[in-house]
Amino acid sequence: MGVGAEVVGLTKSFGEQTVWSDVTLTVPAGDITVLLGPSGTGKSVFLKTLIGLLRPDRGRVYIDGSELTAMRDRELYEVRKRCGVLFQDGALFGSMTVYDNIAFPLREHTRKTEAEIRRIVSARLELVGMTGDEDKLPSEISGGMRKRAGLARALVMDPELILCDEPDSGLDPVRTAFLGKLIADLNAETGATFLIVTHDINTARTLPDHIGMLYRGELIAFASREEILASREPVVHQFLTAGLDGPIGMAEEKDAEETRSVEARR
Amino acid sequence: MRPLVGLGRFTGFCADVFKAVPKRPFQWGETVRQAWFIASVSILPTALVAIPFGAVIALQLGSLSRQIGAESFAGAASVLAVVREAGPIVTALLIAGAGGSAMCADLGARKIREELDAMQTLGVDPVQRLVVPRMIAGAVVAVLLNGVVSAVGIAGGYLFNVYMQGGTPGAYLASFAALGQVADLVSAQVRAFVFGIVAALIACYLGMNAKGGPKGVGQAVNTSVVVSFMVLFAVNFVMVALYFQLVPQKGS
Repeated sequence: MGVGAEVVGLTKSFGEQTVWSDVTLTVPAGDITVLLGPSGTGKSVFLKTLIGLLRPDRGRVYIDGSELTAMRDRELYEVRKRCGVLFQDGALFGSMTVYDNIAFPLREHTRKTEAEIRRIVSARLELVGMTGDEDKLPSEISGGMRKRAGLARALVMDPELILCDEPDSGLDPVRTAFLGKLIADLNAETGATFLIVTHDINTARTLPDHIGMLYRGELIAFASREEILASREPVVHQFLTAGLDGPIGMAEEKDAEETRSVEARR
Repeated sequence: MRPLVGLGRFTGFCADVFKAVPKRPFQWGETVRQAWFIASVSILPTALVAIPFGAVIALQLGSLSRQIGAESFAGAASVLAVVREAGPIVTALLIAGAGGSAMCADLGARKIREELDAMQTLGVDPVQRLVVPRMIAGAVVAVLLNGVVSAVGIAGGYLFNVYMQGGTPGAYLASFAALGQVADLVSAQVRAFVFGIVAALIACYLGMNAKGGPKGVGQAVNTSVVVSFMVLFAVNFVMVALYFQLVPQKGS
């Protein structure tokens, strides 16, 4: 069964620049949630803050009801063992083969025999369609394969909360669809909670139970998929239809200007 | 303000590392691999630097001792110079320049590829897993390197003194014990040990905090070499000053 996560009044800035402020949302346990947003809106930073890799300036993060932001390192590592994270580029350990990468969490945290480990790793590799690539180094496989191997590693400890940072970037549409199906199957099978950060509209249209949208440093929408897909809110609508007309511009700065002039016209 | 913030963070990092040293399971495999790696990148340069260094010292002191009419002390003076000072300094340069820069580049690359983040999310502390083995490997290899520098330097000085400056082997060897003492070697080894730890800590800290892609890693390596040189020379000065205060010297 999956665990939920809750974020209250979260604010993060790097120096002068605020990434996002006052984000409050609940990632419901056992569901798939997608967090959308244009490039550069701090989606990855949000994921890293949620798992305690970055400390927020203000606000609190709860995972399964316990406050992550108040934890000591030891407790933090215990909570993380129940979570799986898929990083943008897979973040495989460059010095280890694909097999050793996926076996790493098992060797670190369990007393399983090498035969059991082999069985589990083979099953995960098959799940992501990488049987036969065990002995390759991360530098010898393509970006898409690194991503799938990263997913296999994130899944190997049977996590209850899985965070995916753009699982679909750099994959072709067919592979993206397969990956989406894999996530849906895993969710149905294990009940694990998924939080997926992406800017891929197709993923957002088909996969999640809930959708949130980050734009210009704020969470501007968070609701069920149906509500968001039907939303007439200009930013959400423009993003989901990939339209050129709307508040979102080519550059982040233009977004800010646009909004200011829209506000002035009102 | 900014340098103070950096210093504070570095101090916190060092505290984390020392706290992680006794944690189980100790990473023996990683420690041995790192020690082997550091040794493999620094042994050859160390020997190649130590030979001319020893020869230069022999040349300078040989000429000086002839000028003041104390030729029979040339050996003693070489030993003192090589063991007390040249050894630790050459060790510091190589452990920071060859070992530290490689360490910093390695961790920096892992940082920007998000490997360190991934490790943390897999429930493994990179400080315990990666930094502690590197620090211990750095300290052990520095002590061994210092031994190499001392041996090579003394041998180089001997060859130079005996074959090129016309000194006698007996006088060179006999004067060893005239001024030097075992404490000199111990002091040098202790300093090398500390240099290894300091260089590894600086390299790991800067590597783990690299940001901004490959360019950031390059910058971190550069900063690591420059900063560790400065820090190691300062630490060397303080430790030598303490040594002369605390350990009585022969003949005084």
